[in-house]
Amino acid sequence: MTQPMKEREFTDTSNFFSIDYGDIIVVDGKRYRVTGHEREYRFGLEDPKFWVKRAVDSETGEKKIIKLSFFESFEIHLGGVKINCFRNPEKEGEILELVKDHPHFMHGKAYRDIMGNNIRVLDPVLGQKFFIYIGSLAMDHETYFFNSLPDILKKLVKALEAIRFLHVHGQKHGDIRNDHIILEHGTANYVWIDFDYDYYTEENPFGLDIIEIGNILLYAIGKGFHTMSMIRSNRDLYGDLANRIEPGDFSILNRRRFMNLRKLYPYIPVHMNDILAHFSMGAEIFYESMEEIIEDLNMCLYFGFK
Amino acid sequence: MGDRDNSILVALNDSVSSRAVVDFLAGLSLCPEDWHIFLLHFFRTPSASEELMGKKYMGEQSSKMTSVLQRAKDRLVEKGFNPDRIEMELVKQPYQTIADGIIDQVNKRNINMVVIGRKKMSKAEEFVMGDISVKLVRALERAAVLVVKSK
Repeated sequence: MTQPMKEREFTDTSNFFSIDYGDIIVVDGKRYRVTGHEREYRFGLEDPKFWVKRAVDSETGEKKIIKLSFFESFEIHLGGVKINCFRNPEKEGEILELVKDHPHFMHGKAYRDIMGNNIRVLDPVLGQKFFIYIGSLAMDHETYFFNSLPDILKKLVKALEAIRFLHVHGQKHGDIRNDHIILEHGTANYVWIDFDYDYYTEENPFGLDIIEIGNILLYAIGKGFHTMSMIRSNRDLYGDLANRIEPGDFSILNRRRFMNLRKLYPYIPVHMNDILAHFSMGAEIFYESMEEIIEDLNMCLYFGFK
Repeated sequence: MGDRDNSILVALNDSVSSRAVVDFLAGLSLCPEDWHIFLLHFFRTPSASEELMGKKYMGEQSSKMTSVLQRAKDRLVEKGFNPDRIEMELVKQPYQTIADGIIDQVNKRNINMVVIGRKKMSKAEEFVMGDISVKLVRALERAAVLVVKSK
């Protein structure tokens, strides 16, 4: 009879690549058995994130996500603007403490291993990603706009208020994307996950968060993104739109994304389209705070969709 | 207007636009001896990468900026400004943004006018990185804002 392999215990998580299935991470006196790695699904590809372990609390059986310290810095280029980005485990730990009672954020706590590495033990947020949810709604845009979007926007406003809460407390989410909002089972709350990215934008400390909110709103109002190539190649869906579009109709930071949705869907009210226009190449003024976006969205909800 | 007549805050750093500010100010047809000038350099809260560069780097920045302010003072004095009415200061209390620092100092010092430089920015750059001049125009109610544009 073969003997079962002895469990490997890790109190030092510095070399997170070596921590694998079946290993035990010991933190704050608790033992977590690793059951796998989280994966990131982007552009049809699946990448394991070796610093993010799926785990089970050996004592209670509760599922957890354990994020280990991983430092990387990189540059992103948006609309020709270079932005310095980096992972900041400390920031995520501080936010977890700040939002521990907030219903629109993932919850957990940051600890230290014996080498002082930041380890975040997180409760998984169960539910569907916003990105998947919107894409799964099988209906035409007009039906979606009048029947589904009002409720979606009401919930999005709550999620935006949650980002404002961070900014008011001097924190930024750092990685606002439509797959970092989870429609939580049970509460139906829109819940933000994954806030260990950080960035540096000089005079506009929350600039990238605000810009990415524009993408979330565009995705929600447009029931997906509409790009230049889609508009040009699908005349059945977009009609003569290709003949009517102008450079100012596209996103200031992603010049392939069509922002002036009212040209495509004329029933979109002007005040709602104007919100998107703030993120377009045609814009002369930009949003500087979450407060301004929330105020305009609430006006849309107040005046209705007709 | 404030108690202090003709007080000007000039925010400077080691950039082309700051040099354009000093040149512009020096060339103004005013009564330069009447002006009380505050040449200030502001420090932002250091970014993570700047913190990594350590105290030596920050010390070098201080001495570099002191030279920038001294050169600006010399240029203004050369053009007739009263040296006794030109103050220089490195504002080391770090502000989250330069605009926050200027607004705070304008209010503390009862400044009448702020002079800043502005390099040419694309719309995208203005959106992402922010524009000090726009923030000042929006936020300052009792001080004029003079923006010297450069390429």
